[in-house]
Amino acid sequence: MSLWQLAWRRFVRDPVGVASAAVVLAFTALAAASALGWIARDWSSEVAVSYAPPPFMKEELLGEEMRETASSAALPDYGIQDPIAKELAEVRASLTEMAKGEARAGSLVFGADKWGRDVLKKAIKGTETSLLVGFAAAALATLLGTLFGAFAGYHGSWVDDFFNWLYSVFTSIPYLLLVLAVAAVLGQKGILTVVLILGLTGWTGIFRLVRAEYLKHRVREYVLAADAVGASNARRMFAHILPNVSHVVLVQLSLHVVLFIKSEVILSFLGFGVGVDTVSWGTMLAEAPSELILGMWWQIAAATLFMALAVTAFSLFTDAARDALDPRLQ
Amino acid sequence: MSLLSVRDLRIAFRKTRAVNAVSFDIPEHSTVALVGESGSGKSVTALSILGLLPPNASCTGEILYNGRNLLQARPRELRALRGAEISMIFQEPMSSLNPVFSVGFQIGESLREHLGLSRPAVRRRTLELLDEVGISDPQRKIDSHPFQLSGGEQQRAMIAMAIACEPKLLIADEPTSALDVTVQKQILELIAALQQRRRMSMLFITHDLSLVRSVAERVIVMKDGEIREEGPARQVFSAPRDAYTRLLLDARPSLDQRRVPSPRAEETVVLEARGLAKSFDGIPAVKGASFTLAKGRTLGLVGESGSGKTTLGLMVTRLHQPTGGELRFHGQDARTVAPLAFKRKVQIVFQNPYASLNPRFSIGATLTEPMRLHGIGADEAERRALATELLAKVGLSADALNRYPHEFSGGQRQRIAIARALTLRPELLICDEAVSALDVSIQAQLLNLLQELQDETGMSYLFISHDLAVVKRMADEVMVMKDGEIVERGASEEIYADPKHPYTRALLASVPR
Repeated sequence: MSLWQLAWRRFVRDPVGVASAAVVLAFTALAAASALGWIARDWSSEVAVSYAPPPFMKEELLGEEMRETASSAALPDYGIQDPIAKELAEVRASLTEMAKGEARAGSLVFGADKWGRDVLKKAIKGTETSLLVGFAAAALATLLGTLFGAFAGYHGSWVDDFFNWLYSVFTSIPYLLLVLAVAAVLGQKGILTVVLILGLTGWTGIFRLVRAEYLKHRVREYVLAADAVGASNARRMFAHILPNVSHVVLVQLSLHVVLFIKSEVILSFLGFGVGVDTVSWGTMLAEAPSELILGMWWQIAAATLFMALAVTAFSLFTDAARDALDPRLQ
Repeated sequence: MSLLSVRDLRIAFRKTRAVNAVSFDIPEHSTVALVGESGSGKSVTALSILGLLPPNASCTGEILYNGRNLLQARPRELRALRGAEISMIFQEPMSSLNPVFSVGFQIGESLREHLGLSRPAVRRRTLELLDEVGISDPQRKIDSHPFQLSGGEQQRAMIAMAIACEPKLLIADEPTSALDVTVQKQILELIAALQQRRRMSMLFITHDLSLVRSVAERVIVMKDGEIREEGPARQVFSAPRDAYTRLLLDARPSLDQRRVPSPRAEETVVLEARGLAKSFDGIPAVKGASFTLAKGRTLGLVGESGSGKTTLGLMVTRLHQPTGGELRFHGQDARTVAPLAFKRKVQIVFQNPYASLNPRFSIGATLTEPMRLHGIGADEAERRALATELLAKVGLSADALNRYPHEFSGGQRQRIAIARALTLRPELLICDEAVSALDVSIQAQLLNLLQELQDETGMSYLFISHDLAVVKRMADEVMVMKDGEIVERGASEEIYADPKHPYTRALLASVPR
């Protein structure tokens, strides 16, 4: 039985790991279904009245709204004639004509935002964006970190010096400042930009760990034995050592997915993230401050709930995977 | 009356039983040796006496110390006993000492803890202890850190720590196994002398039966968690009753054993080294080694740790590039031979069977890789057939191909490593401490296997070891290395019968008989 099969056996024995893996899988399936256009395709259509509340909030809020309309009707015009009154009446008439076709809902499960968009669908679409950014950026960072670390740790001498210099440059700049600088350089907004920002700045931790593993493994006897039978440098690096450090790489990959999901939220909240035509948990949170003043709490609640669930499940899954994969814990 | 008596001790880890119904006594003022190979349960037994077993171990039976059952003692009572009444010496002095504290501080710790002495008193007592365990210049060494001491001095410091509070029982768990053979003898004599002088009882644990002959009054032989034989040392050595004890006694190659010399029919020189040298950052590891090795012959290379013997072996395989001298293979300068072609002719078997096989490769992949790299065998099926043949040759069955290294024991793994070296049908095989990590009974089997393979294929061996008896068993010619230099070289018979160099004489004198 190979070490992978043994690791799998240990993993399925851990109930927390299995449960968190199920949640992670469910989120991934949700994001995939949304990406394929099966659900939440029409997240941007305005299906409800502005700030439509969740069903159980409906009664108390409707009362308030009625009072508001009553008071606005009694506005005095001090005898001044409105010069565009005629045009306005026409516009109002055409708008009501259009609105007749689509009846706007008064309430939705998770409520609606300012433009009457369904918060639940926004959160699902946001899941797609956030997971996509998290996975893609983590894959990029892990690839860079592993490659750099492998070369630096295996070859040593000036190769190691070069990558260490690069590492020092990247880590000497405060993280958020570096991210904002790259964002400013790349200029345009979008998912790809965010992936590049996070991937290009986030490889340093993985590099350090993989380099240390390679330093440790390159002098091991099995690598020396591979050299003795004539295996090339590339073969020793990637066919012999890499499978033996892959548990470190996999755990780092998983850890960085969590980290980058959170980073994307922060970036989008600050306005450096995805564009206005895209929704993510971060853009949802960015809308929240002004809503909270008005007492509309459902959008921040939905985004927080989704994010907390996904991040917690992913972290627990990472812990379980580390326990299962780490050969020292056997 | 006995100081410690163990009654029906059973220890299990989860479902695996480590120790099964073990009973023995340690009388006052005497030494009892507990002998067994790896996995026999000897160390676990020792740890259970001090209550140092990991929490997942379940332990039943009785361990009576002065009539008190230690298995039922509270943690606080055990702490009061440890170090004061019962103390322990471990195998690895380098990892048993804390590297950030001075040696004097660490020895003084138990004096402060258990006896509550004042600072000047602790220092005075520590100096006396260092002197007693034979550390020269204690005034200076007391403030040294562990890395500033040699391996032997570190073990002496550990012993000083163990006897600081004048314990009644000293448990020594493989106290000399990590040390060089010359140091081993000194430490052994020191422990025996201390036991006599301080009238302690001692439980001496070792895998090497020949070591205890001179120290122990009683010997207990353990295997698979059970006691196989127990009796006075003289009787166990002269008339062992159990078959396993006899096997242990016979398996160990002794210096009196003679090897059937290889036939000297042809004298083709396979390898010739002239002034081979290697230095790391200007520090010489090997200073000009010269020797020749003929076809079908075995050259033994003996030396203690740090003598440069492994570096020399790696230079011969060209895994390390020499910084000076010349290596000729069949008369041709080795530097002019293409690396891949050279590797096909010269192979190596490493010391540690647990580290030399890639844990993520199945045995099949491990064995077919060299063949694939060198274009041996037309396709994968043929290579697997060849691999199966080789496995049979080293005494393993074909179903090993689809299994992984962790499923095999140390001896089996070393057989696999030998099979891997044989895939290329080399002319020269370098065995770098190839049997040193194995239990004696397994060691004997592997030495026989290597001998058979040589008779069959006519390979030459460069046999590197710290163990003089093993080298004597294998080699036609012997080189002795010290501090990077070959101090003596000659036919095996002559060197063992009449050593010329004082260092060789010292080495031979330290071998336990």
